[in-house]
Amino acid sequence: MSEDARSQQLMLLADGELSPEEEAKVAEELRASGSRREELVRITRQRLMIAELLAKEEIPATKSATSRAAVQARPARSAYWRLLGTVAAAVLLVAGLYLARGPAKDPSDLSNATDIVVRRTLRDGTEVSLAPGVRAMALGEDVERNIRQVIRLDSGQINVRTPKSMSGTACRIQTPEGLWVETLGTTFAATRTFENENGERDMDAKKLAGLVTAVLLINVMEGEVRAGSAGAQEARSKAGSSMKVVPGELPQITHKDLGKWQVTSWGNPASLTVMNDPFTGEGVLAIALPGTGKADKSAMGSTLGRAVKPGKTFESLICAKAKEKKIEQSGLKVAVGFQTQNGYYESTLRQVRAGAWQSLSVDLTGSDFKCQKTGWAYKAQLVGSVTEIYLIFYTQNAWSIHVKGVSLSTATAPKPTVQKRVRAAEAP
Amino acid sequence: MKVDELEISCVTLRRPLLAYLFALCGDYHQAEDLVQETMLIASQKREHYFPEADFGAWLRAIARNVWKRELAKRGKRPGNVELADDLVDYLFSSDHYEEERWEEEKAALARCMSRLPEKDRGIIRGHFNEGKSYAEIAASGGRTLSWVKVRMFRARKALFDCVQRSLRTMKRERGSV
Repeated sequence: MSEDARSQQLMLLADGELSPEEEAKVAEELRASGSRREELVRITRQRLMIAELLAKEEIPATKSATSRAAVQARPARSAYWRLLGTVAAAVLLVAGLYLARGPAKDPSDLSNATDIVVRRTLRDGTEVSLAPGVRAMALGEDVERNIRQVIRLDSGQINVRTPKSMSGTACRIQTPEGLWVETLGTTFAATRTFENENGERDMDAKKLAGLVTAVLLINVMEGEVRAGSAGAQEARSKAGSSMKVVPGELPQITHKDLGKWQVTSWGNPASLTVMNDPFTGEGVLAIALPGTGKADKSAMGSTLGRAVKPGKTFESLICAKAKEKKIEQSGLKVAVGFQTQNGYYESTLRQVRAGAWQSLSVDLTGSDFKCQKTGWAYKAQLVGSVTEIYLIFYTQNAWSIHVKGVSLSTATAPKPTVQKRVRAAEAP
Repeated sequence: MKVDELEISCVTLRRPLLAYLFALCGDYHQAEDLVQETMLIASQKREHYFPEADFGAWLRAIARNVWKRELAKRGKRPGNVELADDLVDYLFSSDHYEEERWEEEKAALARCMSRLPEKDRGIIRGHFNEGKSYAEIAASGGRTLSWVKVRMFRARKALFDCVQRSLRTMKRERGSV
């Protein structure tokens, strides 16, 4: 048998196209030959890679008319793979399983880990050019806002060419900070970068000193775009012009405006998962304190991505359960910390009783915060704009805690923040 | 096992696990769901894992049970799972699914796929995206089974060669910068 014929056998084996007798024969060969196994690895990898590309529509091609339900309905045919695992899937049940989930929203990873520009055509026909190192995700349709394609830009530059839609639906790029640019049919480049107080820019926030803010730079090549940010008025920009979108002051900072929550290194170990409340869709922090470590507390914090003047209150809902019942009797001591431009401030301790959702609120105008300047005595006022929020749990025991409805009122009203510029130098 | 260690291990082993489950069920979307379920169970049962054991093998054992349970829900009996276990550890080792190399190859494969003749892309889509067997592809295209087998093999071989060329070029370009 020629080398190609042997390779073909392996491909047929992986694709489930061999008879049981043929499979047994190839399986024997595989046991005996390391090079055959290497080749099967190559074929197995290529199979998954092709499936991954096709599933996420990462290949510019004419779309198949086949419905998602039919795609899901594929039974596993290979007797070989059955030996690895089991027998074939039931076509209708699988189709039903997926249909029951409702309309499909296929988030597609647009990140470009290569060092060349990658061009992609998305499901709705939007063409994107992805600069090396870009991190972005095509989130699909947002019916409520009449948007046919939402792209979340996490970092880097993305060039977008959107075909005009007969139905008048738009394409939107947004950043985790709520900066956005939207268009009905045009060509533009969008770059998420960071800027400090001195106007210095870098894609990596860590390389900038001082107070750093995320900004979205837009360069319009054709047509017109609208852009804005949460809490700010929108602005329009036409072909040949550039604009910079910066975050506006929000009347209220809520969970969706916060950055990723992380367990701090100065507290005891904890695990943290962010889930969505199935009823309200809002973010819920699920925190597990394993009861290990030598510190007297565990803490987790989130960065706001900008400095926010604090308003009257910090509000949230908290529900805590201890691993051991006897621990629950004394409740859980919780404090809320605020990193401002003037330093770290922490509220007085709140006693949370176990087993029920209850309010956790802090009066931001009070004079009972502790900070370094007061020698950590609870007699300071919160001074400066808040850049980070912390939840601190004073316990060394094992607890399971859920926190939701995080909300920080701010002192300033929304104001327009989109700055239009027509200098070519502004272009990313 | 600590939670953060578990998270790191799960991230590293996600793709090999996906490959394993994709091999079992033959459906990418379903394999992704099964991976999620496997990870969830692994997280819940992390106390049962002994650090001396191969974490990948432990995850695959959970994955296999998740798949068996999925079949049981549909009233199907699992087949003999022992025979190919000696191959499984090798085929789905995390060494073969290293992230950076994977993304590089995938980007190259995407470019190579877009250059394939439409006829070849059609049979690949038919098999991977529409879940058709070779015989079904042959029937729907008015071709013979042998034609599909040969065409599929040539297309996949062409893709492999194209990816290798592309990776070599990239490596050369990087070297010259």
